[in-house]
Amino acid sequence: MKPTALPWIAAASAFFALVILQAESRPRYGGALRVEMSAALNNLDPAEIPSDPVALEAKARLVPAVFETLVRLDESGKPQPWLATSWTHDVARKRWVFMARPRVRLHNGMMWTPTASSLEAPDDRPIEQILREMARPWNAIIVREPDGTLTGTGPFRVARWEAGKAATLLANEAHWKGRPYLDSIEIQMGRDLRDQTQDLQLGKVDVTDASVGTSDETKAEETLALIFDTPRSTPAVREAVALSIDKVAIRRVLLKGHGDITGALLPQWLSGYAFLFDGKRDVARARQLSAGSPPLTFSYDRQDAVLRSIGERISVNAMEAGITMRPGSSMADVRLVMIPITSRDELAALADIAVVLKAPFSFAAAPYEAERALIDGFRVVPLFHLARNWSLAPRVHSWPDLPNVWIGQP
Amino acid sequence: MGRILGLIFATLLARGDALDDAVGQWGKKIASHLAADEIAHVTWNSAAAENDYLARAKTLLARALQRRLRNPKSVEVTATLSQNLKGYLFIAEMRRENENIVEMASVPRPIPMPETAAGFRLDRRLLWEQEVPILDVIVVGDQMLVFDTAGIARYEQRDSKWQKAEAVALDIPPVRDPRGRLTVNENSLSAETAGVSCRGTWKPAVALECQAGGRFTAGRNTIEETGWQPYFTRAEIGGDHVVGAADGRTYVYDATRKQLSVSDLWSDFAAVSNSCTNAKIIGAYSATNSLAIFDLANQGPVRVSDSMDLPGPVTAVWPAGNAALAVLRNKDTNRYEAYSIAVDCGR
Repeated sequence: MKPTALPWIAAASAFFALVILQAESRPRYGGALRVEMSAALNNLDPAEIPSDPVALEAKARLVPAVFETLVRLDESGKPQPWLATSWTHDVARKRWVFMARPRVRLHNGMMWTPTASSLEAPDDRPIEQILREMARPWNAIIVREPDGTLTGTGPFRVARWEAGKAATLLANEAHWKGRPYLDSIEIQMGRDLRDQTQDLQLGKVDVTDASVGTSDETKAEETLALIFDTPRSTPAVREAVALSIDKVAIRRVLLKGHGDITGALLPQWLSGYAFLFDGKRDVARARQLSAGSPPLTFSYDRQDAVLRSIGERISVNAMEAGITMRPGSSMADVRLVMIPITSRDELAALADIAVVLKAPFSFAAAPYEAERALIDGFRVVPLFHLARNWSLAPRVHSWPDLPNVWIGQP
Repeated sequence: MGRILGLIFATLLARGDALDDAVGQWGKKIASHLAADEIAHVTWNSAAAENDYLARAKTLLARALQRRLRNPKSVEVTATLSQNLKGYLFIAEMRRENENIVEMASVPRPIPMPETAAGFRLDRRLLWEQEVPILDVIVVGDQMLVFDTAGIARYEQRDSKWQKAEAVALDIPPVRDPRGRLTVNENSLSAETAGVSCRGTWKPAVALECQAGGRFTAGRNTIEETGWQPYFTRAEIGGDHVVGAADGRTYVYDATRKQLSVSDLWSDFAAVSNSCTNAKIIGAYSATNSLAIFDLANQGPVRVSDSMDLPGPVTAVWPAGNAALAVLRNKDTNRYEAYSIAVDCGR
């Protein structure tokens, strides 16, 4: 890490601590929240799941603020009624029928009157599986207007959308749970991390992304991993790279002790079995496996000082095992990425990771088997579980629960 | 950590059936990987301290894997008690020739029993708890009125238990931070919440007529009163006004409305006086889930009691006769609990 990054990180940590201290105050209505993010989203259409992990994380967080699902997962990952108030079998016990919540209005002012068929699901798998699939933001209820725009029922409506650049979300005064506390959310997309940090320091923005591993938050919601995108590397070479990485040193020196070393995609708090995936270093074995390895191009976010340092260290470690990893473009053979944990349900979270990996996925498998299938072959090499980092202005409360975010005293 | 796990496991003991079923099924799955002449030799690898729950799981697994064989081959099985978001996870690892076999069984996490907290000079008594957000509760003799976001329910005390006598649904517009107030005077009753005001009677039965308007701002969590900016709550103490303002801060004004002090101390409060003390403020701390008693001294609030820790954030504090009513959302059970909070002058 370069010395120049330290004051920014310290300031961000201080902001974060302040917000935690004020967490239980009486919420206040009104105000505009100004958000800057690295992700650049083309749209909020739930049907389009981004394969870029940065965009996936941002979209998974924004979509539920505008579009809602029939059921949602609570804090412990259990499905709860949302736009559907209950569900029951039909008479023939061949389908599940969901009861629509009454008096729900769409953003265009019309009442939400779903067709009967949109409130049914075939009883061809366990109801828990049906509910966890329904709870994914990508299965939100949308109404397509004649002009192609999408209308939802969520606590915010889209007032302005400039693809990849900026958006304005306005409070839905008629939301069935009551209007959100904020009047609006102003979003600037595609901002680089340095500009975001500067804008936060100048008071131009309330929420920004923050560098990896700068939060004292302990609950890991992202997995730092290597993804091998091209067929230039064999499974043996990919395993060699995995075995060469000195995760202990990276965690101690570059992550300043933050995060957990892992070989699993899902963190232990979510799956309970993460410790089964071994991620230990074995340079001797890596050298055996790497024989004849071609040079690989390697990409990572160079604007993030911590990610850049980790990327450089991984290149050095791979070199020790006889593998050359040269810095490359976004079309590189290997990417160092933060994969978001988008759900509190193991399978739903793995399904989104499968989108990032462009790998097939089935909800029918048990979580351990599904995760094992994604990891086998070393297309993805999980390295660390880390908390999601933001920098917040001290006046921001209840972030990142957008409908319940409110702005208090600075 | 060990103590926490111990507490959780003690609660789990009461749910033996779930453990029996889970470990029994788990044992069958493990046994399915054993050949006819093999037995499992289980080594437990648990971070949790040895306790009755774990001991029981070990016994159940040993029973499920029990085989009577002459000269059996032993297969090493590593068993782990882990936990995830949804509950507890039993994990077995068996290393065979070229394969690492994993079998799992899960047990749902029980709802931990809330700890009771005792306060110094603050006395709390649970009046009512339920899933629907409670706005206000009034107890009059052997009758209790519970105002929530669905309407008003009247309970009667029979055999020392509250039995529901009737429930009247009210068409209350949704608000994200709902607040409401009941007022009883003889047989008459008024109920106010955001954008709605209802008046009528509660004896012999609850009968109300509602109309738009009233003190509570529509779609917000503030109260409107002539001569004041919209506020969360307001109390008079010895001629001074204590105002929980819409900006989240608490202001103290003198009788001439001159500002004396401002603080970020409370999220809500109520003024209370009883036979043993002059008016005091019972305040819910902004930063923690706790209550304490305060006096006004040197133009600002001064804490005069130990704080009382609560099992969740306080959603309402209202004056209630010579005590206060505090409503909180219990973080463990996710239910709303209404307490009568009294100032105890006993020490």
